[in-house]
Amino acid sequence: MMGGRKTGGHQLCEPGLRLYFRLIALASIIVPSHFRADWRKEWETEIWYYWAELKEWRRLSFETRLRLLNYCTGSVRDALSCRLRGVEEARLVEEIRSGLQTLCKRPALSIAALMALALSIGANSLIFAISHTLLCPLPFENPDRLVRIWDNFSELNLTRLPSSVPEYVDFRNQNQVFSQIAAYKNRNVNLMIGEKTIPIQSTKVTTEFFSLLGTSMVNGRAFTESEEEPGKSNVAVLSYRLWHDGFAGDPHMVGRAIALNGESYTVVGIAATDFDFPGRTDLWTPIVIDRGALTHGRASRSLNVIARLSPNRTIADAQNDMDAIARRLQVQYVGNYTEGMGWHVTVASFQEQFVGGYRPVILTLSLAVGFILLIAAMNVANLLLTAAEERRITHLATGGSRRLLIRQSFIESMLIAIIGGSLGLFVAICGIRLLIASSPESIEWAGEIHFDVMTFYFTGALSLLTGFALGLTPALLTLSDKINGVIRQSLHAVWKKLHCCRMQGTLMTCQVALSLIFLIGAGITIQSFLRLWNMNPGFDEKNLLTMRISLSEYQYSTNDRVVEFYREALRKAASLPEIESAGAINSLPFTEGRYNWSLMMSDHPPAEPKDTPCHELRAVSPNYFQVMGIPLLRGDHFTEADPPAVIINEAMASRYWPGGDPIGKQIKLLSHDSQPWRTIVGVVGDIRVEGPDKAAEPEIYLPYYQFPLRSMTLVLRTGASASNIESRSRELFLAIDKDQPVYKFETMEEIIGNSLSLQKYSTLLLGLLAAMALILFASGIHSLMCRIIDQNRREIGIRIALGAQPGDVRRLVLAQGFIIMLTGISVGLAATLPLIRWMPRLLPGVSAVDPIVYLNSVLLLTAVAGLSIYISAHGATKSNAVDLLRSSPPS
Amino acid sequence: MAKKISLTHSAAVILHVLAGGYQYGFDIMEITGLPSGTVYPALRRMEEANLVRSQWEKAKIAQQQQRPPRKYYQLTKTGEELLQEARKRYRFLESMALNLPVKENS
Repeated sequence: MMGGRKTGGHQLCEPGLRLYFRLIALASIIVPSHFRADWRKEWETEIWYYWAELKEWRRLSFETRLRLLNYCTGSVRDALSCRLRGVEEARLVEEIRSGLQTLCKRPALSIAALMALALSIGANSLIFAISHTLLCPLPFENPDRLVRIWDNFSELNLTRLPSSVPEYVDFRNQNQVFSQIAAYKNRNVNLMIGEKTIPIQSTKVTTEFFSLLGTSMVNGRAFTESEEEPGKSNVAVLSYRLWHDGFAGDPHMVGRAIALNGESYTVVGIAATDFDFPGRTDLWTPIVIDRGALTHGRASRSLNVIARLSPNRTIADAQNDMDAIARRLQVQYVGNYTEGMGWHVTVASFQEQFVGGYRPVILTLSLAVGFILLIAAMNVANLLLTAAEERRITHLATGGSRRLLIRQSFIESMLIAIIGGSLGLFVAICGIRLLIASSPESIEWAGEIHFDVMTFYFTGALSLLTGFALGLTPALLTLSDKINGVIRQSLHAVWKKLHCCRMQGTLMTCQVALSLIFLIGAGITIQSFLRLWNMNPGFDEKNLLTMRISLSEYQYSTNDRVVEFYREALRKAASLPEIESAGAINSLPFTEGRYNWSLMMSDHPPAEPKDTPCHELRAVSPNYFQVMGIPLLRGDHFTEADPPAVIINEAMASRYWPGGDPIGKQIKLLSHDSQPWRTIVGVVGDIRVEGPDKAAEPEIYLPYYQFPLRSMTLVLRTGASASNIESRSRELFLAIDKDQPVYKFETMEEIIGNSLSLQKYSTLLLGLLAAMALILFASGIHSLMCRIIDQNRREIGIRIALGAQPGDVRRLVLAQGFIIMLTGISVGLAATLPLIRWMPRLLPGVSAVDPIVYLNSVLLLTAVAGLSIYISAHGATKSNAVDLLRSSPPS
Repeated sequence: MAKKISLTHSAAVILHVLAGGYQYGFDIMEITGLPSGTVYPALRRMEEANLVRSQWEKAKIAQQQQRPPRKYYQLTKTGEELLQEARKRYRFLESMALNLPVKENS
């Protein structure tokens, strides 16, 4: 025992030294036994002296203890060096040389095995690098203490909504769990630099925003509390990027005035170089909180609320506190939070907001590469098994020990895994470069993927683990041979054959089953994406150019001015020769904006307030449906002369008037201001955003001049060869009002593509991995069959000598192969049962019950395996009986 | 039989420090700043090559002073010769000698 260890009669181990002595004891296991006691005594004595000196000089601090621990870790290297010195070293070198010779003996198989390991370990490292980039902590001070606060309406199926200004103020004033709470919202503005107007990304923030995230200014200051008040908020903080690129890093920028949307703002600070939140922000301005007007606007939710937990508070504490606040608000503002909507507030980790969406993709890809590594490992195990089998026969025949035999197996497997892993490093590095080069722009994080130290360690650890696992198979073969040594004498030949065949059969069955599970999983995911990609969205997305305009609330304070602007903009846009037609909508399909509104229908009065329906509302120009190519199914389009009118989609018509005619029915928007009853004048086709399997949600469309909104998206139907439309239409709108920002120029195809870019990207990766798995599977089956044929050369030789035709031999080999194939397919199909249960949980919206994919996977696997087995069988029939009998392995 | 040893940079520094009177592994680490994973394997290799020899101090002396006996390393004749050669090769060892604190023999 360490505690009682004495050196020269002196008690060495003091309580403070226990950890160091344990480490030395552990390391001493490596040291050769004849030298171990002396080695351990020397290390322990030195540690004792070092400790005693520190104690004597009163220098025992955390740093000095850490230094001592560092000294102790060196003992492992010393122990290893002792172990590998002298005879041990020479023997190890000899064994490594012998291992390399074994690999060189079968260059084709070795190269195939090394390539299999390099590709599979490289693929694992690549996915690790991606997940490491995505899941790494956010670049803020103590990011684990940051949380996000969401509004939710569970009964309306609306979750993770922003909050309103009054709600934010209530959260800020009433909470007892946050040290700080802040809010932000995006807005696009036009910045005047000299004579040029440039659209920039701006974010409105509350005063706590910068201090909550723990960032400081390069120059100047953050916002003060008074700057949240109306009339005092025309101040701005510039991003380092904007200051550097837009204002040439002017050192006197703080205190200067800049023009945003035609209004003057004073620059008060320059943000830190690396601060970029929310992503791509050029400039921050304060959110105005009018404390006198907090009774209104509770339903206008646009603020993203973030908070920092107080010390010793958990997310669960915060959730309880916010629940209590929500209950109080529901009582206090009963009109705003109708019981039936299920309004509640949730608190979630801030990190989760960023990685939550990626987790299913990362999990799927991790599983996929894990499967690939397993399939590759099976291939390599086969190669090692062949080498081990040959060595076993010669080694045991010459009286060698089984211990050495197992040791050699592990050295060989480690060798192949280390070489494969090193090649895997290159595969991963090249993969990362390829991934970055081929990633679409909408996946911003792709550029951040890099090969770091952690990925290097991961690759190393994975290689060593694979090497160890690979060494187990031949080791088991050797050990099981020992167990059955008694019967070996009499039944040696029969046993050996049965045993080897059983092991190969098991390996091959596992490989078939694993490959089938992988193919089915990948097939289902790819199929589901293809259906989403090829679905008809309900409109003609080709030749549609979109752009967003956000009118200033100061310059466009009345509805008439807003309507006037958009009327003029649409008229001018339609006059361009390249434009066939121009329309407008507040919230374009496939974009993030949602505008849900509580409604009342004249012939469907809700039985109770909680049954009040709430559906998506879109304000559109009268010709929006024609521009988009959305079919009018019943009734008419909007006309300027209409009394208050509304058009509904087919989903709404069939939900509320199934089999009936909704035209002429009345709908009213529920709001604090008196809204008129609106008549349904038409029914248009549904737009499918979520996928072909998901039913469209009810929607209502209002003419924009009866429901004016400052932020609208213009949709232009262009001719087939419309070039320079972007700059020409920008000039056109700036000519109407140069202070209003026109931004986000995108074609509708780009918008749809971007909304699916993550799925597209991961499906592409999965497709590549599936192809890789299939190649590995084919080469694995081929080498396994070659090995089986090799083991049965004598039997084949005898059959040919007795007059069997090549066709008979081929049939024999094919039959053997197909029996194993069928067993593997049955096991694989049985193993996919959990897949049916887990797939929808892993990838929401993906159903694992798709008989076509199952059938195709089985057929593809059978075809590939059939071809591999046939090639192997064909090779077996080429030799004549004498050659086969002469070259057959000894029994 | 002395084994041929290629005198690395670190080995030369260790020999030099040993010649300066620093006889224990941890002392060498402290004075040279070399990690323990370098110092000990180097000492063992040099001992095998007969450049240094190690010895446990007498238990009786240690017992009298209420402390455990310690293993110390000393330069052999071959080690000294090799150090002379190394000093010619690694000129910095000379300047290092000026900076070595004086070690009292315990």
